[in-house]
Amino acid sequence: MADRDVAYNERVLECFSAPRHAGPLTPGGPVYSGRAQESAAGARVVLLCHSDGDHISEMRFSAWGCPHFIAAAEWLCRELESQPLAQLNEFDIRSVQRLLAVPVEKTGRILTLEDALEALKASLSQPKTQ
Amino acid sequence: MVKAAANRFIYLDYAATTPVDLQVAEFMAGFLTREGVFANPSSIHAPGQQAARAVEIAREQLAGLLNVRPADLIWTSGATESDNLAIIGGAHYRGRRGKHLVTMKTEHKAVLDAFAALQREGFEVSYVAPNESGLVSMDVLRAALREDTQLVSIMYVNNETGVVQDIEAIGNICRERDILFHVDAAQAVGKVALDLQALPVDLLSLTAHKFYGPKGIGALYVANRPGCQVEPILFGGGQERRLRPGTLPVHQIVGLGLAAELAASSLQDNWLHMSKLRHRLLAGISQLPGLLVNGDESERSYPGILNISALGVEGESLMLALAPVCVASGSACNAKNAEPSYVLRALGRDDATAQSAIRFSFGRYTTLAEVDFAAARYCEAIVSLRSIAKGLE
Repeated sequence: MADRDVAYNERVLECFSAPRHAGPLTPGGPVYSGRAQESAAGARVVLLCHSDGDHISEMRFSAWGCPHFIAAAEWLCRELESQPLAQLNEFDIRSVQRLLAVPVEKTGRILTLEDALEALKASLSQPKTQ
Repeated sequence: MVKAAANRFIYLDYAATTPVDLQVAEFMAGFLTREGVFANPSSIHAPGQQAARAVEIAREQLAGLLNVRPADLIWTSGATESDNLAIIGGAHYRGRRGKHLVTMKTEHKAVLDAFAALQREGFEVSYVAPNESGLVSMDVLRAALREDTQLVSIMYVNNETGVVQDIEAIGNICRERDILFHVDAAQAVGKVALDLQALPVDLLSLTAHKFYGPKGIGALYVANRPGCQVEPILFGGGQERRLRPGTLPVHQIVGLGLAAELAASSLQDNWLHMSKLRHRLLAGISQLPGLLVNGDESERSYPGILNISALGVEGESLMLALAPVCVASGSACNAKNAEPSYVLRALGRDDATAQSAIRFSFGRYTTLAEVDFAAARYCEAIVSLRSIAKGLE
């Protein structure tokens, strides 16, 4: 067993232990989503959001994976919620890896999160009905 | 200096290592400094001979725990070295008769890697599979044996699942065919009553730190019978019948000896205590759906090790969510390797089930209150992680 104090930084511990963006969106309004999976039995995530047309009004996620992966999904939601839609294109997924000190061996999981984000952007670009 | 702060944890990882018994630690301290028995036991002067006597007393203490002759025990640095000496040394000793060896897929890496080294030398190794409980069938074992099989190595108590193999039956099969039988008993010695006069075992590995002795010291039992011998794998001196050269670490050896004596006096109590803790934990988590005990749930299981998979949960996250409860996971569980346990995969578990496994292992100092806390924490963690993953289906 790895020593938790060494294996995870404070930001990971906080995001992992209090993932307030985990779960479903508030009912109502169009739902945009992006889904990705690392491998058949690997980490997987779905990102969900509501948008008022200009902003990401609400953002949520579901995830299965290691603490870094769950914390990264939570951090991404925190960073993007309430931001203009244009921020989606500006967002640097590698900053999540740096801020959460995700080990290089887990880079694939961060890329999985990036795939989900790309899928979410694609979803937002499609016209949606409720 | 690393600050000791273990008390803030609930330690349920006794299969990884145990704390040194306070009596043992205090006794060891008398064999380190100028005021104590510090001399080299190979020296012929009086302090050296005093140290040599302490080493032999420890050998007698360990012999008492195993019911063997003290002369049949060789000090090593621990179970890994004992396994290597038994397997590589045993294969080399028997290598002129044949090159075929047998072990199980669920053995410890210290055993598997020793066999891998022998394969690189030209030996052939058959790796037998367990049934879904982790036990080896005697029919499967017999089918793996050949005319030229020289050594079989099967562990007593599995370190991940607690499954207890039928060592007597396996040993009898080996004796019928004059095959050396090695047992990795790192998880059994000091916890399970062992009578090596009654068991058909030729070579047995053990380590002190699994039964409240110090790390860095172990032993190999080599039965005193014709055809049972090992060749050394280390060279440099005449200690330990030339089988394991090197200056004897007297403080560690006496620590192992006292730990063995203490364990011998509490084997039955230990088993009862472990059984109570196991049942309490199982009762505390029984309301959770989607749990699977990895291992044998009958009497062929050491109660101090309980391995459970929780469907829909990832092991590393579960371990972190369990804090301050310290357990081991079903994967290699470090940042560099999240591969599912090969032991659980050999039991037929799929990757997701193996990855969700947690090994609880109890010890002498574990209380029912600690187990109750761990059970409650486990339930909370499972519910929380399943909630985070909800919506992925």
